Amino acid sequence: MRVNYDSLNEEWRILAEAVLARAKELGVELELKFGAGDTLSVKVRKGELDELRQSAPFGVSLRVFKGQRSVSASSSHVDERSVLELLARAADNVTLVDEDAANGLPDSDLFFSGTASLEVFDPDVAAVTVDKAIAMATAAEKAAFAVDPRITNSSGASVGVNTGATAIYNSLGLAAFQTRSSVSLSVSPVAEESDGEKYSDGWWHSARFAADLATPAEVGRIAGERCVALIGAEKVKTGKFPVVFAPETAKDLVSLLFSCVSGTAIYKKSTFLTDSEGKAVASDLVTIVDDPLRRRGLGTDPFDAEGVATSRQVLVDKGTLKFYPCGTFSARRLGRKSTGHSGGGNSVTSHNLYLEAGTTPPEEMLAGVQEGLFVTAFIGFSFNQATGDFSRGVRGFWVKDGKLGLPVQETTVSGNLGQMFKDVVAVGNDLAFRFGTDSPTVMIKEMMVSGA
Amino acid sequence: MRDRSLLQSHFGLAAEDLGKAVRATLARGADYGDLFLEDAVTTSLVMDDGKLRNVTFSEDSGVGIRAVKGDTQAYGYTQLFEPAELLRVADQVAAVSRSGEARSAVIAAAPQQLRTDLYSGLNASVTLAASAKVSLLERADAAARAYSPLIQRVDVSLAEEVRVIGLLTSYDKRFVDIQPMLRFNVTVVAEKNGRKQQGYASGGGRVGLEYFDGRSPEALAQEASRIAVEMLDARPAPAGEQVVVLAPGDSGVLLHEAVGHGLEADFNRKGTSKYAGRIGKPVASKLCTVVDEGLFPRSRGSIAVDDEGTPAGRNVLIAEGTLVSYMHDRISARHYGIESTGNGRRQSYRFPPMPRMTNTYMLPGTATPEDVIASTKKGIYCKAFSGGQVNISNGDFVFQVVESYLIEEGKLTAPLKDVVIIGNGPDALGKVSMVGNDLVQSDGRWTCGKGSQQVPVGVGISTIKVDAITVGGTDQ
Repeated sequence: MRVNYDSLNEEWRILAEAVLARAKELGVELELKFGAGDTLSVKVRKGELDELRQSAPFGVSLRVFKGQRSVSASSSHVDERSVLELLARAADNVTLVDEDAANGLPDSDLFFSGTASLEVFDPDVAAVTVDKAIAMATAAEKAAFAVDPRITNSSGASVGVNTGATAIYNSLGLAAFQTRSSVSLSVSPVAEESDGEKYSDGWWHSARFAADLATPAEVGRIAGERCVALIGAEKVKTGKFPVVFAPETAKDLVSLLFSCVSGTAIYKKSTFLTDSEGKAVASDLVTIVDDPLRRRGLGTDPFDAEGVATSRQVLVDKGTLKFYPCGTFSARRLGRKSTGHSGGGNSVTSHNLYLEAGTTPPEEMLAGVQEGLFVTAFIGFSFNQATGDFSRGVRGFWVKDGKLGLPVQETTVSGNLGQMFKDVVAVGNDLAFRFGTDSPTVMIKEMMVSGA
Repeated sequence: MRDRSLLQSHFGLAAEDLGKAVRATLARGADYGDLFLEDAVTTSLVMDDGKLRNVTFSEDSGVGIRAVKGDTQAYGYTQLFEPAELLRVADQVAAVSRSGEARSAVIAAAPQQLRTDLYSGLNASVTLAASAKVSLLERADAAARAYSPLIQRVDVSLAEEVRVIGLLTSYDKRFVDIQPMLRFNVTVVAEKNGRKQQGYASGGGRVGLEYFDGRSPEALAQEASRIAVEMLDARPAPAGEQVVVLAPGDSGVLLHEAVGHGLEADFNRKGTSKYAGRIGKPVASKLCTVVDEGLFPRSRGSIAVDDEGTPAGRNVLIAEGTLVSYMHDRISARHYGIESTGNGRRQSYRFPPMPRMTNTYMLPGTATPEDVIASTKKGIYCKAFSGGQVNISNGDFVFQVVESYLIEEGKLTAPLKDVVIIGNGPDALGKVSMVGNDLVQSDGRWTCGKGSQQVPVGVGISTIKVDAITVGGTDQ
């Protein structure tokens, strides 16, 4: 099924008018959001189709405000009668909640208006057929198997093809509509050694535009190479060593830092970085930017989840935290204005967050390590935001005399996120916009590595 | 409540139209097809530092339609409960078989009888006015603040869901089940001399507000507060291989990660699991008998029936250290030529089912918990966890500890900072040297992620001792 987003835009506009009018009659302010999409995913395993999924979901969500009180609701029923019922029920409940001065629609001077041409919708994505998707997945998996005869098995290769649209309206006149597309490709091969031990890793890529997607041959090859490189991995000795994080792991550190300075964490005092605005939170090699307006970015958004216009902002400038990213609720709790980072409700989210490229080629970084760890994958998600304590399982490679050596598994790296960012001693020149939140290779002076 | 017309009356679709759609999934030669109908209603209340900040309700309903040919499946769903829409999706998934004659379906005339003793609160409080529940949140908020003047912030939430699900298959199965779920969360922040610490506690299950007859909001708030306050003084945990003693209950997350996922049959039929081909072989110490059982009344991981119409059961996975069974859904069971074990579960109508755990636990042993601790000269004692993860193929798993203590000369001493513990499935379970007699099942809280699907699960374990496992501390 092909969704016609132009006619959907018109349908939603008409429906929104009716619902906003009813909200006015009920004496409440309203934020009304619609979403719809069209999605296809295929998984091919050992050359055969394993799973094919198609759907065209839609939904509505709303927030009702009365004075300083707020109630929210969502539904998969998007016909006018159902949405009006949802509104009535929310309006009925709104007197139950307590007043909170932070509640309310965003300031209207911050609303997104006009149209943005950020190239986040590619009509060619909608034209990817089931057969084409299967062919891409098949080619990618084949490329992984071709890397080495020890790749004997596979969890599969998947292709996802998505288009979608969202719209936000509110009682203060906001009307914003955006279509998006994305296509993704992932491959998960399994290598097996003669002793029967198995090693799995994978690689993936996604893009807004079909033409920007890495080729199946490239994604498959990288997946295969990563997998084979792990053969023979073991735990390493315990001790304090320099740790180099590859971009695919360094990006997670950037995300964690963002969550620790988000307006929600700050007003809840649930972070070790309260009172950090304007202060040094990292080494002066670290500059972190959020650029929602980058063309074709995976996190590109001309407006946030409340319809507030977004802009490119430097979050950390040469180590100094410049501001707390906020949506309307967290901003008001902190006595300030939204920075365009609402993730819906009181949550805060980044858009295209990245750590700026440094000057050190990653090879040079590794060449400077006498003995240490190069981390290419995390296992687990543990992190204590209140204390900054960081302790995670890793895979990667032992570095000896500046050279990548034995593969490593069943090993952890631990430290404190605040100290880790202050201990950044090199930032790679290898930044690529690949994941949505991105980082170049990053080297940390010393962390506790725990293995045998 | 489970009369034969409920599938029809609840979802507003005539039995004939549902049957037609099931038949349509086989029109091109698929060998199995099913329709999964769902109508879920959720309510949640959020108290933010003493104020009822938000009430949320949501409804989500749709029909998932599947066609299976051998090990291959096609899946689609719609949110429109209209006969023509069902036929459109059925026709789309039927293409899983590209050539072949239409197969005939056997449509069940009557629904399966399901056990009714696993859920409580079927006329759940989800529909009750929010005002009736506010006092539960207020009580938790007050209890946390009363626990210690060091408690600086309190967040409390209550979420309830009632999920009506129905299934009609091409192979003579039909059911309707109504599954309730309640979850109560308390998060606190304690502060002392500029140091902060977070504490979290959660409870619930397939139960309504009567949950609180057994465990009070105050008890949960005190548990969260106790963790935050005790851990304020935590010192760095040791690094490297250590003796680890696990407290009863939530420590079962070890089993979930170390063996649970690896024994899901999809990974084994595909040969990607470390446990593939190991049925009948030793994979743990002889002290370990591990069971997956969906039958504990009110438990978060329990189900009367899985999402493919197989009643949940009690499945011994590891018997005295020997691997005896995987957990199956319909596709893997057919692959192995056996019956499904009732583990075919899905997050919602938006997803096809796959092998998933229910309540996974270890049978109790004979040691007293005091003896397990007293026998440990130096080690760490792990009590509360935030989750875990596993690499199916190499068997590496982690579990994330948020409350732990040093054991010195057989006694618990200093609290330790958050730490991740990493091990390898069969190796770690092979080093289990003592199993206590104090089995505890988890109370609510655990959600398991696999692929992109989340399902509620339970875990259970007694006090156990693992002789050597790598602790990701910072103290050498």
